[in-house]
Amino acid sequence: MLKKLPFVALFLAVAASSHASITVTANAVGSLLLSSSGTALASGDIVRIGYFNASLATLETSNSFATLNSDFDPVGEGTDGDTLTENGNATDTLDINDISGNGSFAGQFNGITSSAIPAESLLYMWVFNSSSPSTATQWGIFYNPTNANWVFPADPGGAIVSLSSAATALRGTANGSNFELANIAVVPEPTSIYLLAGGLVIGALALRRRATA
Amino acid sequence: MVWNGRNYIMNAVVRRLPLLLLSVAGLLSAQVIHAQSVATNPVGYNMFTLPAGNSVRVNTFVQATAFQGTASNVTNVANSVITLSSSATALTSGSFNEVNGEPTYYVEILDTGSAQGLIADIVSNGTNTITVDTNLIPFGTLTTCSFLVRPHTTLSSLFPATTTGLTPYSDGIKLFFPNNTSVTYLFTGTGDGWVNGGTFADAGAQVIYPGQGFIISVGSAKTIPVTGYVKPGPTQVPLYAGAINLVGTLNPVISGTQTLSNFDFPAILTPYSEAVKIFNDTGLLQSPGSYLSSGTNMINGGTFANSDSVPVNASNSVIVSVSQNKNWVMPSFYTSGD
Repeated sequence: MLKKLPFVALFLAVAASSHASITVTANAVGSLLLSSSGTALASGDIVRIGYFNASLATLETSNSFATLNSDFDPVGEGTDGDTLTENGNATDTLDINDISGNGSFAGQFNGITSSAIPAESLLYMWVFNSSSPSTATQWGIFYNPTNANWVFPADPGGAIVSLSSAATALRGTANGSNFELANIAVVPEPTSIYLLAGGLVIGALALRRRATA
Repeated sequence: MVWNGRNYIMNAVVRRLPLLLLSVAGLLSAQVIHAQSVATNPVGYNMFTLPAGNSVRVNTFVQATAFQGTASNVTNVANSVITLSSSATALTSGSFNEVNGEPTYYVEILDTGSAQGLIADIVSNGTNTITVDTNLIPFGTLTTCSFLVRPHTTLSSLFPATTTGLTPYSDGIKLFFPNNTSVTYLFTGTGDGWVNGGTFADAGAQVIYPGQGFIISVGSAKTIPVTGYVKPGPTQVPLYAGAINLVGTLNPVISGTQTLSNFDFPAILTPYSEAVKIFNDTGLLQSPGSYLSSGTNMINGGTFANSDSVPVNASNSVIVSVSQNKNWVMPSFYTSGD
């Protein structure tokens, strides 16, 4: 019987590859993504899918991209061994791709590493009015705690993160069946603060040197 | 007739026979205008009782037979050409052709022997020939075989846009393919009823092969009706090395339960090497275990205890992992009809 064990081990190794997937969409039939002024988001604006290890209060109030980003575990984005199928986009980052006009998108992450996100975690959709999330001036955070399809699936299952499934806006607001992003009071990044402080110190020293000269 | 809240098969609905025959006749007159002779398999009705989340399922039915006949010759080439016997009613040329490069009909071999239950996609047809995408000859002595033609079950035919219960753009079906890829399709509730979740391309014509399982994802618990025709005879289901082979039986049982032994896996699985994984109906794809073949029985992969009697819910599919491509010969679950 022991001679058979290597074959069993071989089977288990083959079966270990992950096939978890997440399908994501907002579209004209269900819900579109709008800016805070009510215009549909432009093609190229970033949509991130993942898990927040932060309180709902933080998600509802924090204006710091750095803080929220440090609490965010995204799927895709080159970290989870997955492939992203998306209209007209060859990158590993999901964006508005106008699948049914402005403000709409569809995409599918396949083969996500099963350990990418804690099992059965709620999934969040974090949307920006920019192709550069860290400099976006508006964002929206959406989730759906009552819909089983907004949960990171066990291998080889799939999640379907659809904005039209009565999602809840933690940041942003519902506008009919659509969702608007919220304006964000930009909080300078720590590195920016250090640069600013450094500049002020240098300026002060220069003024003092000029005054004493 | 038995109704247990999950399954009910019209195999046993003799009391409804007039209504049943009327519905069968109506369906056949609409779909089977080319038939030499057509089987009248019983119509089946099933309910998928789905928990919120992910569930493994299989369509336990097939589409109505569109043609049944006997070949006078089958060519030994990559794409076998079946020439109909001289007594066969002429086909309408092109009526079984692929559409946009995708198969819409398939041939099923009825002869007993190693090719029985073999399924091959139809590429095209003339008035007395049918070209398939497979060389059938290596599978058996088929020169004068008997066979039938059925339309493929598709996402649209299984769950049309009018399906009650499914939530548009929120519920979906995930299919696995031989190249170890998978695609989730979203139910739309309009048009063809389905789109590819990644590309949004229409996907209503996406084929679901007999015995091919799928994962159905729903945001909340619901019950979805499934209808079709009960298929008699064995069915050959391909299994691919290195791929997720999610397969299930065409067992339209009334009781709602079958066991691992009903799958007849020991006949094709390499003992102590290839395995079967089953799932609970929790919506979370929790698995009570994986099972190996001992050559004659199914055994628990951890304890090696005999597991032939392990229950598998009817219409549930299982994952079969194999080390080389092979065909699983699914036993027949209905023996009259054709």
